[in-house]
Amino acid sequence: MKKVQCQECGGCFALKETVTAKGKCLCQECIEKAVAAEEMTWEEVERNIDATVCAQCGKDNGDAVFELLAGVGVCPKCTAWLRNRPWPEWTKPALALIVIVVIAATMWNWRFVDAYLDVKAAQSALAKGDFAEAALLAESASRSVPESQQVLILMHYVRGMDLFRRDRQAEAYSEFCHCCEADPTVEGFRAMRAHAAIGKAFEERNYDEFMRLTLELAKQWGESEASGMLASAYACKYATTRDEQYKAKVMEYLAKTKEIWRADDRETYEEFEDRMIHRMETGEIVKLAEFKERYPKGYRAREEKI
Amino acid sequence: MFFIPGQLIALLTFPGVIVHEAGHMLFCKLRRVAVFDVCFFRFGNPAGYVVHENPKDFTTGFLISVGPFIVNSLLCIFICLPALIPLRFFGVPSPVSYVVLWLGISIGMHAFPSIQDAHGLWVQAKAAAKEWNILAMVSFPLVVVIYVANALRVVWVDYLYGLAIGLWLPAKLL
Repeated sequence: MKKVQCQECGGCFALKETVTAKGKCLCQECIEKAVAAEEMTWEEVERNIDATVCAQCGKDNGDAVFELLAGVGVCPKCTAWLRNRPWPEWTKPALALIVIVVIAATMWNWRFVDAYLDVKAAQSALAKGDFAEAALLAESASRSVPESQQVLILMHYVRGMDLFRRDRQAEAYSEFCHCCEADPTVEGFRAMRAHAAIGKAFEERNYDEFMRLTLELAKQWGESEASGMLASAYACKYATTRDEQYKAKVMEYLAKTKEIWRADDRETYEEFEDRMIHRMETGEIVKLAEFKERYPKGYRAREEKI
Repeated sequence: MFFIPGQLIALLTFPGVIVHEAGHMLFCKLRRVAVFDVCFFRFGNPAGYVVHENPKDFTTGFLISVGPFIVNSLLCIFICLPALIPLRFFGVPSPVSYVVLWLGISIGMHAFPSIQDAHGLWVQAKAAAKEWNILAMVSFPLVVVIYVANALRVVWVDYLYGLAIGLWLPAKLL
């Protein structure tokens, strides 16, 4: 510890207990007297620093100075402590509490995370056209979050699409009805319900209803857009009644369908045409899957086609 | 917008104040900067502080100043995530989710460095920029952003930031 003499009273003091003011080294008592006598102000006073004494723990280093830290001497032990100041004890339980809260919330809400992942996977499966997988994933999501109306709608919609693609129209119709009930504003749901209703009538061999619904759809879409469905409905009517006016209608709408479809998808059109001819010639109305099974190479030879 | 005293906001969002100061202290520890005093929370202005030695280089000073921004933002996202999916994607609220969101958004809204942090950064950046320190030069617009963000606290920009990184950003990323 360094000692100095007060230039006012002459007393010997520890350096850290003195100040410098107007170039003079003064003890505490003398500086207070000088400020009280308005000989100087506190703004002019600077506390003397003794770098041989640790400012943190007060350790005396004799005449040797400690390393300066922010202008004051600090012993190596205190320097190390200040440079890696430990966290207060309460911070550890506080951090643990945050982690526990987050883990608890994650576990509590895990079914939502599960459902979210299922919905994302279902969307990805839908994008790939894998409706069966998407339907399974949407069902799983709905089981995880039964209170979510959005997931319920998604499940019905995807299930409807899957059934529709598998030609199970009555079941698909029921699924699309659920969608429309839940959100009547979505045009896509109404369109799919209308499609499935037509398929359902066909499936139930209710050809009058099939005809009525098809004509209704043709009114909305325009005849050319619905020409394939009109041809199919008239072919059913011809197969069941043998009324020649229906046959003429079939030929008329097949020609229109040919114009639209053939350029886009020649194979699909030819398969469709083959089925309509089979329906009219045999009077038998069979579903697409059964038709493909019976006539894997088509009903007629290629050269016989219209 | 309506006025609520800063001390009341600090009280209501005290976890954010604590994490903010912890962010400063964390980077002081990581960069071996002596910490002379630290207050994680108090009823006063400022609500918390960390008194540390002057950093030896600008990078250290920069990290200490923006430490809370990094720590609070990351923690806000991490904490809000479990509550985000039920609320944002399924619209299903639960008390647990609200507690977690309060915690996360409280932390997120204290992510901005304070005026004092911005001032310290400005002084250091000016000195370092004279020596052509790239980070210091890049920091000037950042300091302006911090000043503006602090000025806009009266219109709840800090709260909006908490909402944005707690609810909006993860929803966009998911």
